[in-house]
Amino acid sequence: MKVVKINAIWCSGCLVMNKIWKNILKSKNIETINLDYDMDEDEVKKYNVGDLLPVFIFYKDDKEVKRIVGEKSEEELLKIIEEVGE
Amino acid sequence: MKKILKYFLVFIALFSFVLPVNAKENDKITLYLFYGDGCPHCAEEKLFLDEIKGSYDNFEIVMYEVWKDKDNQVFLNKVKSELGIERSGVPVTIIGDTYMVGWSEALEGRVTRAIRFYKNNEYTDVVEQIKNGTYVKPVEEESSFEKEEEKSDEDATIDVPLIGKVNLKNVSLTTAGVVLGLIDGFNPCAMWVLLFLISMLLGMKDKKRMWTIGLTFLGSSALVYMLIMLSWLNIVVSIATSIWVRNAIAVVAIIGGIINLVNYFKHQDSGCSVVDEKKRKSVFSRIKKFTQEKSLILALIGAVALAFSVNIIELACSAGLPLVYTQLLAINNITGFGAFFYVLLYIIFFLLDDLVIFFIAMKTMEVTGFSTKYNKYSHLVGGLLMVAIGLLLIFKPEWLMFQF
Repeated sequence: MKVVKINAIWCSGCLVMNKIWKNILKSKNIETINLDYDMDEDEVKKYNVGDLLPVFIFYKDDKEVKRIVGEKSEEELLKIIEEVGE
Repeated sequence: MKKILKYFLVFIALFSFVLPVNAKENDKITLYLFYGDGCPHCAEEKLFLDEIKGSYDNFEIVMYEVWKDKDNQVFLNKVKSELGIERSGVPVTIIGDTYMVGWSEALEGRVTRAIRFYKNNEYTDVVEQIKNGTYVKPVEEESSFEKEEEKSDEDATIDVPLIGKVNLKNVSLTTAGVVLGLIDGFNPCAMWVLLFLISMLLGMKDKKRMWTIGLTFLGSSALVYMLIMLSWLNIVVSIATSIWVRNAIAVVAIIGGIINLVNYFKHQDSGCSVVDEKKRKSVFSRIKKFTQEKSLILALIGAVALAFSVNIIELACSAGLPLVYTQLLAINNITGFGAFFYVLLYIIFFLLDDLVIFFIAMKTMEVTGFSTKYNKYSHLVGGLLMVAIGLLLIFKPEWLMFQF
């Protein structure tokens, strides 16, 4: 599984979720690509992101299988990871 | 039948203590209004008296125009000298032996309380007595109603261990300041600017400079908010005696409240809404510029200028919470140092989340953020409060006057 995370340094919800994600990565082996909404502007455009951050895009075999928008709790994230399957 | 009568008598005996002690009702209460034709405050009081005159039995209002009518002017001067009224100006309101000079919203409650008081207590029509020459100056200067008011003010005072005497009226305004300030603070509109500023500050090596610029930004934000609230309060105090102004503010509060509630129900997903690109980039380049400025003075000027522009622009985003709080202060007749204290309290709680984030970042050298779920709930609580206060301002303003 691969996850593309789109955050912004000015977004408090992204900061909260970064901590949660770091915690999850301690026990899960998930390839994560971090993109900043402002610094990686051109790259971010490719993902057709709306006006709510953060955005987590889950890939399996290079195909997008799930996209979550906005702040989610650790439990919700773990449930999604389970659904998608490592 | 006998049984019913017996139960009735027992019922009366048991519950007689809940009946008012001063059950006697005076035949007629007269309110005298000395006004000037064309005086705006007098017009406001007349509107108010029109509203309430039907609410009391055996209550009449007698008006004397004193700007154009010379006889009435002479009579007012006589009444003033007999009652020892030194303050000049109109309107002058007299009920029993109580008088009020001038008019403000805070006096609405005083007038209605005075009418109720004289209906059930000793009532003397002093204006009538002055008119027919039977008035005798009392030994005590204070009217019986004024004494009652002082007593009820004392009753509203409770003793709190370690703190001392606390007036419940002040507690209500303090609670409102804390709650409204906190809710306003969780409004995410200006938070993104602070987070970007902190992330730029963390890139610096000089800790002292980081603290100075950050605290200058937060201090200036507090100052600009305070200036806006105090000047708004000044305007409100001078014009808010008008029912129309109060109703207009109430409508703003209700609309702002509905916007907050719509935001809560529409955006069930918590998260950060992306700020308009042009605005975002302009703020980012300003922050980058002044944080990288070699001269500390120029950096501080940049921080102050940013705080002023961001807070003025983002004030609309608060959807009227500061406006609602200043209106609460105005109808409770809080001015001067008292107003400064309450506005300061509001601002401390408004900035509390920003201060916590700033201090944590400076200590841990890492940017942290509060969950956006709090923003969501601030929309819900703030929305409900604003709609409630707005409706009270229109239909039951006396409930917001915290008169115990």
